[in-house]
Amino acid sequence: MRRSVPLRLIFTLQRALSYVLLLTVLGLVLVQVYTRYVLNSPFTWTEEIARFAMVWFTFIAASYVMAERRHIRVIFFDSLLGSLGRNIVNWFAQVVVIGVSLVMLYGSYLASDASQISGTASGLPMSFVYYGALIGYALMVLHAVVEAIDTATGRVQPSVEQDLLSVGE
Amino acid sequence: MSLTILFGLLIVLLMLRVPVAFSLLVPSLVYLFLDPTANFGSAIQRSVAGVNTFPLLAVPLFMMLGNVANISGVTDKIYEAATALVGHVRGSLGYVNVLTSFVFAWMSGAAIADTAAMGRVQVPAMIARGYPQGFSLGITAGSSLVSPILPPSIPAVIYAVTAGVSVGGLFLAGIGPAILLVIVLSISVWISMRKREDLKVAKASPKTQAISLLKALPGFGTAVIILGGILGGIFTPTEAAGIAVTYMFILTVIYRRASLRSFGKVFRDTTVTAGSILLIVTAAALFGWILARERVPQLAAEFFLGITDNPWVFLILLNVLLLLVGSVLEPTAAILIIVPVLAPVAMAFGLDPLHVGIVIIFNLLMGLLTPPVGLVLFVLSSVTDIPVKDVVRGVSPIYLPLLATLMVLTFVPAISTFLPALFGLG
Repeated sequence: MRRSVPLRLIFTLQRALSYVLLLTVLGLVLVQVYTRYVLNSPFTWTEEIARFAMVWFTFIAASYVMAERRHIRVIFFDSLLGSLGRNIVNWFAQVVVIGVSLVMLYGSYLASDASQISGTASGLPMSFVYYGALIGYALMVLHAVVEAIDTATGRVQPSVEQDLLSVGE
Repeated sequence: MSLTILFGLLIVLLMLRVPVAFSLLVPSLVYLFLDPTANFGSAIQRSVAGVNTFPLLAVPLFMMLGNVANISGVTDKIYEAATALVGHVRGSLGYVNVLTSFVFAWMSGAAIADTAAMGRVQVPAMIARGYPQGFSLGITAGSSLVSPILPPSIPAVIYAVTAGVSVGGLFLAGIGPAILLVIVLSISVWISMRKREDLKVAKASPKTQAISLLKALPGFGTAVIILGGILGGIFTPTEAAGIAVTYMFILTVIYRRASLRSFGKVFRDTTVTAGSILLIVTAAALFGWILARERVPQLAAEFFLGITDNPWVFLILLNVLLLLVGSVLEPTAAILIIVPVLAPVAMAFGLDPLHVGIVIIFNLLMGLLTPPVGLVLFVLSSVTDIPVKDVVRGVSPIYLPLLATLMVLTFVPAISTFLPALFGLG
């Protein structure tokens, strides 16, 4: 599917950031084992940073999945609908996704605002953790809007077959 | 807000193609909006806290492990070793299929990756050798369920974190059931193939057998890491996942399968599968918190105890309910939605949490093989170019042995609880 240059750039950045976060999680888990067994003095912060990296990974990866249009959904009733019906249902789902993402974006802002204190082993403020959700939901809004426009202008036909195969496990 | 509306909204949204994560968030947000005592900001913190736990780090890492194992070329070595060992038996490729899945399952925690890898190679190979198409598809589909039961298991990690039981304990609880499934599937192969004198190959020499076994040996490394970690108490399942992934990356380099493209695919696949599941975890954390606040688990327990006080009757009801849920919902998503409600109910009936965990997981996994949304069926169809309706027809005879396995697992808890109890993780 052809996308505009800024969108492609965001898409690539999301992917790169997801990979880096994934590698960070893996690296920190290994460091934790190493410091405990080889150095005999485990760092106190590895576990915490690994968890924070996974929170960031969750939302950035989820926004990447949104861009790829591969979020898990039930496709049970698709075969019962005609192409017009599918379009309407798809539109409705898209509006729900955009609305929820906007509310969650606002919620993540509230959550980060309410937790400026650090109080963590690594010294990172908890607000940093919620920025991951904030950015993730902002990107989800963006990609959901793009998809809605694509569907409205008929650039993308919601297809049954594609969905069946793309649900990830 | 009444519970009927909470669940009604969830079900309607699910049916209207709204992604599972968002279908869970809508009723949760409506609830928070209508309840003046609920603090919105702290509710979002609860949602994020759902993925801010160390045991859950095992999910992306084990997904990655399965993806690396798939490109590592270790499957070919296992397949060759299995063929050398049992090739001379009637219907040998059926046993090879089951055996390969059993070994590969130590490196993979999901059925889909397994089906794609095995289906692409084994189904065409079996058909070319003269095995019936339906049998080839059925045994591949059936044996793909070994992966998510035997450790490492993605559904087990998700279940353990959701229900608050030990990941290591649930991993151990899966070993007996996985072996039972392998035995039942092997019996199915024997029943179908025992008269096919033509379906065997010449016996491999002891030397060939030894060499191929030696070549496949590194494939057992992850089993050693994961089991050794849990049994020896050396590292947590999350740490075992990290070490196993690294080991498998190194093996890929040794097998000369490493390339920028193949590693890129590993990261991409892991990002997509982990991203979709983990977002549902955050949504389910919020939804589950609301259910707990509304005392839904207690109400559900009272409801079931009102029907019966017999735990076996409850298990039968549970099985029927789960088979229905599993047929329309992806297993891990289903676990995240129903376990916060049903696990406490099972406890109220005095059932063992690990036993119930295995029953729930196996039950939901069977949904992967049944229409209308059986993912394994669609993946099999896509990798073999056989139409979905033929795949469904081919796979359907395997429901019988799978149902038999489910019944045994349901009514003989010891198969699941024996190993965890033995190692003090029950």
